[in-house]
Amino acid sequence: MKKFFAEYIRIIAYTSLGLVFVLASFYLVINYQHSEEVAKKLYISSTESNYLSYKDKLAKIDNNLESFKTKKIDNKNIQRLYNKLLTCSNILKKDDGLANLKTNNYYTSYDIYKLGNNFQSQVLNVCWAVHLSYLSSDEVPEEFKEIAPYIPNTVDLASNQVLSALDEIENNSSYFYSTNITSATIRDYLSSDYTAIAKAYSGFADIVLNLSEFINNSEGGQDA
Amino acid sequence: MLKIANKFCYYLKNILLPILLVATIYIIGYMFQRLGKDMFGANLMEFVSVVLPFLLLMIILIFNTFLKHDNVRNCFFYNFTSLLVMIVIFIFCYRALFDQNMYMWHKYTYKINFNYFSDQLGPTKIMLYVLSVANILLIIEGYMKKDKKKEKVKLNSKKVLGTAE
Repeated sequence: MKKFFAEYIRIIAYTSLGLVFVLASFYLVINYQHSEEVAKKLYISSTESNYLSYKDKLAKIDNNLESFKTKKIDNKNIQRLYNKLLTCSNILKKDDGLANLKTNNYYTSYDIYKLGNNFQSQVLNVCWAVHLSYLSSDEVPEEFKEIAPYIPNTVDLASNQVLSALDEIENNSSYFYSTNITSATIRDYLSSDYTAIAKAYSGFADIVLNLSEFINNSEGGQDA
Repeated sequence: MLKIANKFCYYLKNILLPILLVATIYIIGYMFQRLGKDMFGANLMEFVSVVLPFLLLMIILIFNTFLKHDNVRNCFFYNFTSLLVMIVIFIFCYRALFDQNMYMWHKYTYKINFNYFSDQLGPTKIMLYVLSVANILLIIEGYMKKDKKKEKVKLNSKKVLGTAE
C-alpha cells in the first residue's frame, strides 16, 4: 500500500513539474519573440511615398499661400481663413512633425508614437480644433459652404487612424503585439502604425491644401 | 555529467531565488508608491500575495538544505524546471526594468514597466506555487521510501539473525 502511494505521489509531483516546465518554456519563447518584435526598428528612406507626398503637399500649400499674399482680397472671411491656414502651415512644418523627419534613419516604436502624439496635440488640437473647426460648424460663412461638408469626415478619419495606431503602440507591452505565423505575413505592426500616422498627416495636409487652393482661386481677387 | 548539471541547476536556482525576491519587492514597492498604496498598511495582503510564493519556496529550500532530502536534491527534472522558472522570472524582472522598447516603460516617470510586470505576476505565482507543491510531494515520497528501506533492513536483519541461530 505504501509503495502504491509513494508511486502515486511521485506521478503527481512529476506531472505538476511537467506542467510548470511547459508553462515556463512557453513564457521563455513568447518573451523572446515579443522582445524581438518590440525591438524591431523601422527604416524610413528619403524615397518613402507617404513622406514624399506630404512634403510635396506642404510645398504646394506654401506656393498657394504665397500666391494669395500677392492678391488683394477684400473679403474678410477669406482673409481670416488665409491667416488660419498660414498658422496651420507653420504647425504642419514644425520640428516634431512628419515634415522634419530625418530620413534614411531607423525609428523605434516610441519615436513613431511621438510622431502620432504630435499629430494629436498640434495638428488636431491646435490647427483643427482652434483654427479650422469653425468650417464644420453651423455658422460657416456662405463662401465656404461648398467645400466645408467634406472636411469633418476627413479629419475624423485621420484622427481615428492615429488613435488606433497609438493604441496599438501603447499596448505593445502585451504579447498580442508579437508577430505570430499568420500576422507575420499579413502585417508588420510598426510599419503599419507608421503608415497610418503618415497617412493621417497627409490627409490633413490635403485639407489645408484644398483650402489654400480654394482661397487662391476665389473670386474677387486682384493681382497686386 | 548529469550529476554536474544537477548540482549546477540546484545551486544556481538557490542563488537566483532571493535575488528575484528582492527585484520583485523593488518593482512592487514602486508600483504601490505610484498607485498611492500603503505596502504595510491597508494593502498588506495584496503585497503578501505577491511575496508569499517566493517565501514559501525559500522556506522549503531551507528545509531541504538542512534536512538533506536527497530525493529533491538529486531530482534533475525538479532542479532543471526550477532553474527554468527562475530564468523566466528573471526575464520578467529584467524586461520590466530595462526594456525601453515597450511604450509603458516611458509612460510613467519611474522607468519601470508596471503594466508588463503586473501581467506576469499571475504566471509567476502559479509556477512558484506548483514548484513548492511538487517539492513537498517529493519530500513525502522520500520519507515513504526511507520507511520502506528501514522495513527491508529490519526484515533482512531478522532473516540473518534467524539463520545464525
